[in-house]
Amino acid sequence: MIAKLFGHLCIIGVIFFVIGKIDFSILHSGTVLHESTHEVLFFKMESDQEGYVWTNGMSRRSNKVHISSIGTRQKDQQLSCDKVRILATGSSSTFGSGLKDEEVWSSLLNRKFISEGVDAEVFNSANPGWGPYHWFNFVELNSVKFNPDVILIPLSFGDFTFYPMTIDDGERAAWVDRDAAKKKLLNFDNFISYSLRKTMYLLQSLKQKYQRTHVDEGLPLSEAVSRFEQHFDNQKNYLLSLVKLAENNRFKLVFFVRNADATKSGGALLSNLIELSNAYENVFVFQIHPQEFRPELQGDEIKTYYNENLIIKNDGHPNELYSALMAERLFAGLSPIVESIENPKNLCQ
Amino acid sequence: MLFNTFEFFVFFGVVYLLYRMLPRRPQNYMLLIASYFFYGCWDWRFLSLIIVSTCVDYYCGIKIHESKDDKAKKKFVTLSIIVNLGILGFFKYFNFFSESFTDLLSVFNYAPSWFELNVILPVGISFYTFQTMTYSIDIYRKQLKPTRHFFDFALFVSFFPQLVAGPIERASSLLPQILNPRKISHQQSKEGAWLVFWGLFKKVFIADNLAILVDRGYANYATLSAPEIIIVVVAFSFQIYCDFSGYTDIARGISKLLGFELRLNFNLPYFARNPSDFWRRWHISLSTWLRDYLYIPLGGNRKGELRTYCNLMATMVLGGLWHGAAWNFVVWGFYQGSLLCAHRYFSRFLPNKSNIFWVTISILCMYIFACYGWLIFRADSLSQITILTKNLASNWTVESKILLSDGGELLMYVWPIVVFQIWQYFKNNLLFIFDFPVYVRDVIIAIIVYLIFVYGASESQGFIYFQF
Repeated sequence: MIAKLFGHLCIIGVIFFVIGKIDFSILHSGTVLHESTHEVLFFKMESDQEGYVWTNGMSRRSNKVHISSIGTRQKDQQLSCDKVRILATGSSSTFGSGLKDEEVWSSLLNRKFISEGVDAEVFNSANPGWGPYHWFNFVELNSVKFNPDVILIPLSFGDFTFYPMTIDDGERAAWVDRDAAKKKLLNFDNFISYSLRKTMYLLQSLKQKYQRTHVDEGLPLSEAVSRFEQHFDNQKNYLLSLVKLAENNRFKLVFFVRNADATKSGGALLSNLIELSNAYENVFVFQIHPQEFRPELQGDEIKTYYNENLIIKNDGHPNELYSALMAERLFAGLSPIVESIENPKNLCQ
Repeated sequence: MLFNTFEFFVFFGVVYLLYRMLPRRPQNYMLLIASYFFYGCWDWRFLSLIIVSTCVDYYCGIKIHESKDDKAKKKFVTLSIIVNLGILGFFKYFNFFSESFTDLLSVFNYAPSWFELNVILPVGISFYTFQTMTYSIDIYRKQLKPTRHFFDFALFVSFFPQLVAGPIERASSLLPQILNPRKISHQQSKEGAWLVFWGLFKKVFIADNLAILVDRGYANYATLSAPEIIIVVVAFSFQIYCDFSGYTDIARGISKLLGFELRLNFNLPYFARNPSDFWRRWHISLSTWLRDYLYIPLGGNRKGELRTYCNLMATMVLGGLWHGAAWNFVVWGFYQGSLLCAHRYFSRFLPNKSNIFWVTISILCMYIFACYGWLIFRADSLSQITILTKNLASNWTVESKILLSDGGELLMYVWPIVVFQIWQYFKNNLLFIFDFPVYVRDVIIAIIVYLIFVYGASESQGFIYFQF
C-alpha cells in the first residue's frame, strides 16, 4: 500500500517536472531573471536580460520585465548626453516589482520629462532587496560609468531593516562564496531554480508568520519608532558615506520618502533625512504624503485607503496608481533641482 | 482558521489521527471539542451564541416531543424560532436596519445616535442558526425524534467542516450519522481526499486569482466599458462559484475522511436551463431549506397563481437578505424572484424541446441571466449597480489591448473548471475522475499540483460566504 502510494507520488513528481520544463523552457522561456554574485553588492540583476521578477508569493502573475544593457529597468535604455542625468537606486519598490515596464515610476517620469520639455533622464538601477549598504556601494562603483548629475533614492522605513546588517565584515567573504554556490545552483535550470526559490519562499513566509509575534512584540515596525530608529542608526553611516561621495563628485543627492501610508516610522525617517539635508546643501528631501492627493483622509482612513488602493494585492509593493503618483510628485520635486543645474555634466561632443 | 491555510491542515491532521485511534463515543466528544476550538480560533466569545442555540433547541426538541397538546408544541417550536432568528436578526441585521432607519430619519433632518451599536457579525451565524432550527421544526412536524444525547446534538450544531459556510444540513440526515457507528471505506477516503484537493484547487488557483481581476474591475467600475464589464462579471461568476463550491468540496471531503456524508451543495449550476433549474443546482442546501421551511409554509403553489408569485418573490427576497444585510442583496433577491416568476409565467408558452441546440441556447440564456444577478450581488451600492447597468447598455467602446489582457487573464484561470464541468455534464458524474485509468489520474493530479504551485494565489483569502 505504502509502496504503491510512493510509486504514484514519484510518477506525479516526474510529470510535474516535465510540465514545468515545457512551461518554463518553451512557453515562457527566460522566466527567471538571473542575478550575479558580486563581491561587494552581493546580488545584482544581470544586464541585458528579460524575465519575471518574483514578487511576494512568487506567483507567475508577476509581470515580465526588461533589464537594459546598462543594467537599468527600461528596455533598450542607453546613456544619453546633453541632459541632466539622474541615477536612481533603491529596493524592489523603486525597481517596480510587480509592475509592467511602462507602469514603473521611472518610465512615467521620463515620459513626463519629454512631454514637458525638461532635459533630464532617469536611470532606474534599483535592485530588489537592496538597502543603504548597497545604494552607497552601487553609486561608488558606478559613478564613473553613469557620471550622474543627480542621485535619486526613493526609500521607505522598510529599507533599513534588511541585510546585510546581520553579516559581520569578517564573515562576508565566506558568505559571498556560499551565495555564489547557491546562485550556481539556482541559475542552473529555470524551472528547478523557480521551484527551489518558491519552496524557500513558502518555508520562509511560514517561519516569519510564526516568528512575527515574538520579533515585533505586537507592534508593526511602521508604528514602532524606537525600533526603526535603531535600524536607522545601524545603517546611517552608509547614508553619510553617500553624502560625502556626492560632495566629492559634485552631484546632488535627492532622497524621496515613500510615505503614502503616513506611518510613524516613515515620519521618523523623514525627520532624520531632513536633518541631513539641513546639514549639507547638496542634499534634498521630499516625500509623497497622502495629504497631498487625498487631503480629506485622516488617521486610519489613510492606511485603509493605502492598503485598498495603492499597493498590489497579495504583494505589498506600490501598484500602478501609486507609481503614477510617485512620478508626479517626483516631477514636481525634481524639476527645480534640474533647472538649477546650468550645465549638465555629460555634453554631446 | 481557513480551510486553505497551513494551520487548518495541521489542525485536521491532529484531529484525523486522534479520530482514527478512538472508539465512536469518544470520537464524538473529540469532534465536539475540535469544532469548538475551530470556531473559537476566530472569536471564542461567539461560541456562547452556538451554545445558547444548542441548549435552546435541545430543550425545545425534547419538550415538543413530550408535549401532549398542539398548543404547547407550538409554544416550544416558536421559542426555538424566536431565539435563533433573534440571534441572527440582532447580530446580522441590527446595523443594517438601524442605518437604514437613521437614513430615513435624516430625510426629516433628524439624526439620532442611539441606533448606532456597531454589532460584529459572527462567522457562520446564518448557517448554524438555519441548521439548528430544522431540528425543532422537523420534530414539530413529526418528521424526526429528538435525541437525548446532548453532546451528540451539540456536535450536530457545530460540526466543524460545515459550521461556518455550510452545506446547511438537516438533522434527519446528519444526526443519525453522529449517533450511529461509522465506517470509513477505502472508496470514501479516496473520494474525500480528491474533494479536498479539488476544492483547494478551485479556491487557490481559480477563485483567488480571479478575485484580483474582479476587485480591480469593481474598484474602477465607473470607467468600465460594456465589454470590460462583461469580462469582470463573467470572472466573478466563476470566482464566486469556485470560492463557495471549493469550500463545500473541502467540507464534504474532510467529512468523508471522517466517515460522514454531507449533502451535495452544487450540481453544475451554470448548466441550468432555467431559473428554477438554477436553484436546484446552486447552493442546494439553502434553496431546499427555503423551499421546505419558507415557500411551502407560505402556501407554495397551492393557493392560486397570484399567491404563488407572491410566495416566490417573498422567498427569494428573504433568501437575498439571508446572504447579507445590504440593499444590493435585497435587489438581487428581487431579481431572482422576478426571474422565477417570469419563467413560471412564460414557460407555458415555450416549447419543451430537448435537442442539443435548444438545450445549449437555454443554458447560455440562463448563464447570462445568472451573470447579471452576480453583477448586482457583487456591487457595493445601488448607485454602482445603476452605473454598471447604464454602461453595459450604452458604452460599447472596445479597447482591444485591455480586452485582450483581461480576457486572457480570465481564460487562463477558468479553462480547467470549464473543461472539467463539461466532462462532468456529459458523463453525468461529478466524480468521473475515478472512471479514468490510474495513470491518467496521476497526470491530472500533477497538472493541478503544478497550477497551484506555480500559478496559485500567493496569499490565502477569506471565503466569500464566511461573511454571510
